[in-house]
Amino acid sequence: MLQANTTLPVSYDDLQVALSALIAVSGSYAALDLAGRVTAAKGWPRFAWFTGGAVAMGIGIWSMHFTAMLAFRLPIPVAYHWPTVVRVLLIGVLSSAFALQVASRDKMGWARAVTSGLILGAGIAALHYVGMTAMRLGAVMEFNHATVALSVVFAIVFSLAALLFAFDLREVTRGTPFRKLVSSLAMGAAISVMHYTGMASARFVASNKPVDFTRSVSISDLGALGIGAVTLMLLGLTVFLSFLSRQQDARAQDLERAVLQRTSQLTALNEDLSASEERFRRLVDALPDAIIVHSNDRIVFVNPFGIRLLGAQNAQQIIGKNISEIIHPDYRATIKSRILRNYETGAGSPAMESTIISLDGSTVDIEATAIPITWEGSPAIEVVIRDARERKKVEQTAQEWQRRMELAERAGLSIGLWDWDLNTNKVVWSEEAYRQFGLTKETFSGRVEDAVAWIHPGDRATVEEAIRRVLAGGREYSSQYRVVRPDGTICWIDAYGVVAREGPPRMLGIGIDITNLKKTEQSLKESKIEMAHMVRIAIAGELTASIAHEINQPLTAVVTDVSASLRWLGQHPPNLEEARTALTMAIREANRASDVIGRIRALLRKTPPPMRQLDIGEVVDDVLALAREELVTHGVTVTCEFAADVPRVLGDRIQLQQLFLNLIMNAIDAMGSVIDRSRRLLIKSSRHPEGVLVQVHDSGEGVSPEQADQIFEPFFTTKAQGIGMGLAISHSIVEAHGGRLWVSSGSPHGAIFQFTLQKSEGRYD
Amino acid sequence: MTEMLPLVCIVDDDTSVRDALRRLIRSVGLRAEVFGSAQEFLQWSRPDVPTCLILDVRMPGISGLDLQRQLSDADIQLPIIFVTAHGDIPMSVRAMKMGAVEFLTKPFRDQELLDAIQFAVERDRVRHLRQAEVTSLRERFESLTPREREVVEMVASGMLNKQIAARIGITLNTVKVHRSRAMEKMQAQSLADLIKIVEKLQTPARKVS
Repeated sequence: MLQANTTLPVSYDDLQVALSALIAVSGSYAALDLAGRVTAAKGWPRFAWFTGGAVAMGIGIWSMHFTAMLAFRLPIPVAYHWPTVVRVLLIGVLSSAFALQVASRDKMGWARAVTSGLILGAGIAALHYVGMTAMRLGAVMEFNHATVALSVVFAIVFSLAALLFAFDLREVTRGTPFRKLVSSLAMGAAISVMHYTGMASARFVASNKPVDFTRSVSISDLGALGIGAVTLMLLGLTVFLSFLSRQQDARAQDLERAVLQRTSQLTALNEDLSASEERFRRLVDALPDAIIVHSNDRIVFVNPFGIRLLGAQNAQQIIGKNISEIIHPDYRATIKSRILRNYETGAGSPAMESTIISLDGSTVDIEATAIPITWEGSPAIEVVIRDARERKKVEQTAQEWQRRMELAERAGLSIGLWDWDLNTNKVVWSEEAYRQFGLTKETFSGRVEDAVAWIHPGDRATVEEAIRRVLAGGREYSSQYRVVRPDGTICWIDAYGVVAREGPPRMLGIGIDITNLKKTEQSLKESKIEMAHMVRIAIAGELTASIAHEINQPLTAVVTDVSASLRWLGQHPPNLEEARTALTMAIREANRASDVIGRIRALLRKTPPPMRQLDIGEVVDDVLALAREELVTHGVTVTCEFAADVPRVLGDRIQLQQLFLNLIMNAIDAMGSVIDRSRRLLIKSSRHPEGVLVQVHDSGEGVSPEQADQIFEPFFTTKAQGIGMGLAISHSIVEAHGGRLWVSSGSPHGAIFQFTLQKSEGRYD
Repeated sequence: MTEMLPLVCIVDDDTSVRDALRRLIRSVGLRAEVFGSAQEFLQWSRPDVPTCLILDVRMPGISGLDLQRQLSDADIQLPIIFVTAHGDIPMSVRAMKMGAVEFLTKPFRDQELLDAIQFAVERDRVRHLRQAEVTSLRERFESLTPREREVVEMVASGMLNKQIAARIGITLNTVKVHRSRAMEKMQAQSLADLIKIVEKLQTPARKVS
């Protein structure tokens, strides 16, 4: 008997401690394994797995506790109050049920995880400390509160860790055995660490008080081993059952997957089949040839072109007919024998011309090819029929054309015909073609090269290029060229040819003598130039007064200055300084006069100089100097706005001067009747995508939409004395410079004539 | 006496022409003032000396002919010499009718212009002198009492002393006193002198030529 109030020494049986830990881990593993099943299952099985899991876990915790209690050795006998022991088991099962409930959810947030960890940890702790009250022994238990608290914290923390793992492990297919093991280790640790920490917090003090041993049992070592063994077996069985169930599920899943795969393969195959069938059907529908399939002399298939060729509305009118019905009596025997041969030899028949009878009884000339095929299991013949009418029509048209051309030639139109065999390179000419080239059958070899040799050197490259295109597979030939005849005369020819590729490739063509046309064109162009010159003269005439003024001004200054200097020199003594100043000014003014004359000469010169890089501002300044007198007389104020970034343009200075002069003179005229506002002329230049945009904006009467349409037409004028050429010429000048000239209404009044000019790229002059 | 040196005003929008003209005029020892436009000239305050005006016909804004009319309307009597690079007969006729001294077409001989200037300046000098005389006579006339003026006017119109006395109802002696006092104030030596003075005063706006 130990002395009362002495702390009892404690010790542990290491083997049983290990056993208790093993039970804790196994119980956790079984529980987690079942949690996975719970998630996967539904209805009754779910409930069963759930209950099983909760019981397994509860028994695991409970069993661990009592195995651990047996590992705990006190120098006094210990008994256990069994109703409490049973209650403890209940606590274990309930808290496990709760934990499983959480772990088997689809989703678990942090809040839920922490709550569950708290409850499960608390459950484990509760099981432990309630389990302690089941002890019946001759000692008093004293607890160190800090350590107790620590044990509870451990229980909660490890439970939480285990639950977080369990959360990831729910998906049976995704969980790995390793992770499941880690989770169960954490859970086992939660139980074990809590237990042993809890035990460490307790101190057993010997007591003499009588111990109430009612309804209590002692647990022998063997009993403990029994508990352990049974528990482990139970748990093992649980895991095994779970494993079996899983295997079964997996097999069912495999089977289902295989069925699905097979189904989709079949569907795809089916789609492929119907797609290729569809493609084939469309091809047959779209063929410009008729296709007829007949089996046993009955027509079984006809494509849309075939329906049309036979004059039917739909396939039903044709399908089922005897093939002989559509063959012209003349050909029936021949075709019959061809069909027989097809069946016997299994070989097709080459193209053959024949005639068929359409539903309305009319005959159609055709060309047909046949091949034996199998149609729905029976031997059949597929016939491809081409309408021969089209080809015949083309041939007829060609003949008609030839006749027409001969007529035209006879009527005096100079159309030469030629036929060039591309294989033999032999050209056959009509009489007119010989005349156009100034050659005869004796002097022309018939080779294309020998014809080309007579073409003007300036046009030869173009013609050779056109021929090259035809030889490279082109369908048409067209070119315009001059022929220099042996006698030196020139003949302009407009040639056009079409390549015929049926049969041996050849080109049929015509050559029209357009010499007279060209001559007319040329004289028109010349008279236009003449006209432009005349207009320039006319404008110059109008401006004579201005020009006289422009020359007289500097001349006056010269005369006056020279007179003044003579006077300065004639004084006694001569005033040399004043005389020199006056003479210097006289020279400057004389140069100015010379510049004016130069400008006028340039304006009147007939041949325009080549395009040069020009500054629009300079051109405008030149013209304003010329038009100054007119502007002043009519009280017109001129403002120039030249943007700084305006590039130089490519142009003919004189023509551009004339352009500006025309526009400025027009503006002056347009403002002639303006009395209620100032007469302003604004000349602006700015950068433009096409180069430079120039605007000439007056404050005159403006241009009505009807006028705007015809204002650039030659001989259109609104002026009493106008000849209507100024704007027409301006238009052609701008066009010759690759620009555009147009007119729009100004705001609030007046007209804006604007035009674009191309900027000069690179250095030109 | 610089102030009395005749002045030549040149109005021409062509800088080189008007500068050349200025140089020519200076070479003959005359004063020249140049103006780029009629407005410029009108804004300038003219000194009270014999002056002539050389005017370009065509100018932006107010033309030479317009300026001539404006001056005439304002009763400014300046002799004008027109110069133009582009003259026609109707234009010159119009200018001469309006009292221009000369109408020269550019380019002109220097002597032609200088002669015209000489003539114009001389004419303005006379006008100037006449105007100065009239001004002084008017000042004298202004110094007369109303009664004296009445008497002088009647004397100038050829009335006898007696008639005057009867007309205004004063004694013959009183008329004589008024008359002699007026003669004294008007600096008239004789009756003929007085009559001439009154005539000059009665036609002050009449043109010189």
